Amino acid sequence: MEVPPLSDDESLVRAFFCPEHHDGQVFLATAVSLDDLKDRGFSVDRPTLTPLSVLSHRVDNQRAKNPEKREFPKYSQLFYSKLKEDRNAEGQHYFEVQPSPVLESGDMPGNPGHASIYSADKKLGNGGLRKVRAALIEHLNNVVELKHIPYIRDEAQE
Amino acid sequence: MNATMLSNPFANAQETTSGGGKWLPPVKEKGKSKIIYAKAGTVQRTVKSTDCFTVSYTWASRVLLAGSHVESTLRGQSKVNQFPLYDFRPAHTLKNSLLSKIRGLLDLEPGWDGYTAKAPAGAAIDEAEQFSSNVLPADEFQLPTVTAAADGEVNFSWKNALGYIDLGFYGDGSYSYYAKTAAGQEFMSDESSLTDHLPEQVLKIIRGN
Repeated sequence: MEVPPLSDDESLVRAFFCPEHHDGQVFLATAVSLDDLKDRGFSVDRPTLTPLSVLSHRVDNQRAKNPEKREFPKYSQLFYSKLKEDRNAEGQHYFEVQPSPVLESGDMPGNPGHASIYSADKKLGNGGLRKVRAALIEHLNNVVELKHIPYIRDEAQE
Repeated sequence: MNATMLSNPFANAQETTSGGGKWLPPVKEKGKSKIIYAKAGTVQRTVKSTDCFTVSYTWASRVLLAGSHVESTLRGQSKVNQFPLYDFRPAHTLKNSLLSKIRGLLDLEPGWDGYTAKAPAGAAIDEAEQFSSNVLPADEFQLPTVTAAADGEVNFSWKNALGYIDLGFYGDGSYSYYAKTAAGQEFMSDESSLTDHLPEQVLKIIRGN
């Protein structure tokens, strides 16, 4: 699946759940796993490439799997340009963001706007990754209402 | 075997040690430790009974005593021989509250996030308990938020006016952390031994003062 590279004016969105990932005041550290930062990638959407129906399907599916801990979803909007501003003392970026479109599988629709955030420094140990995680959580703190995020909306969703 | 009570923590409670009345343990007050000394034959044991970290010891003691044919009851009443008076109820201490939170993670099963999350390894939970016992201040600290991550981590985090700490265990025999004080001073470790102490500035965040 061919998708355009990330542009500096692009925003990225992460759906999360209360109280599983956010206790109402702060994000829990474990909202971002160190393994995601290191190897698997922390999943986000590029809303300009992701249909709102894909997000809704995923959120409904995730909530159904653990409704007690996933009372309601919230949405963090991260800005690619801001992520690139975070650098360590040597001037190296904290984050690397890669487009990683997902093909349709089973009952999950494909998502051309899927992207993954990694720690740019692949040699970091767990202490260093925790620092990167803390920085990413700062970005996640920009919680916005879904209606203000430019997901691709079908006519029926307008 | 003749067990002798050297000190009775329930001295003010009405109790009978031989026949007659019904002995009931008094309601324990604040979570201070009670030390009960019991002398059984030539062996003298000291049991700090209100600390949950000693529960395994007290249970082991019970098994040993049972194996020694000590005729007694768990209420402390003796028939032929006296039984050391243990208080098996956990005290409401901070460390016991923390221990309870940690052990709550044992309920998690693989896939607990609805996807491919790993359950925290038993070793990671053991390490979290060891850290709590060895590294955290004895009785003056703020309870951390205790959570599991999808990669199997057992995580402790603190956030207060003094700073932020992200500290965790993976069952590899160590712990790692990142801390930042309100003044912006940073501390981190990729791999600390479970007996390695934290810098004083980090402990201040944990104490909350």
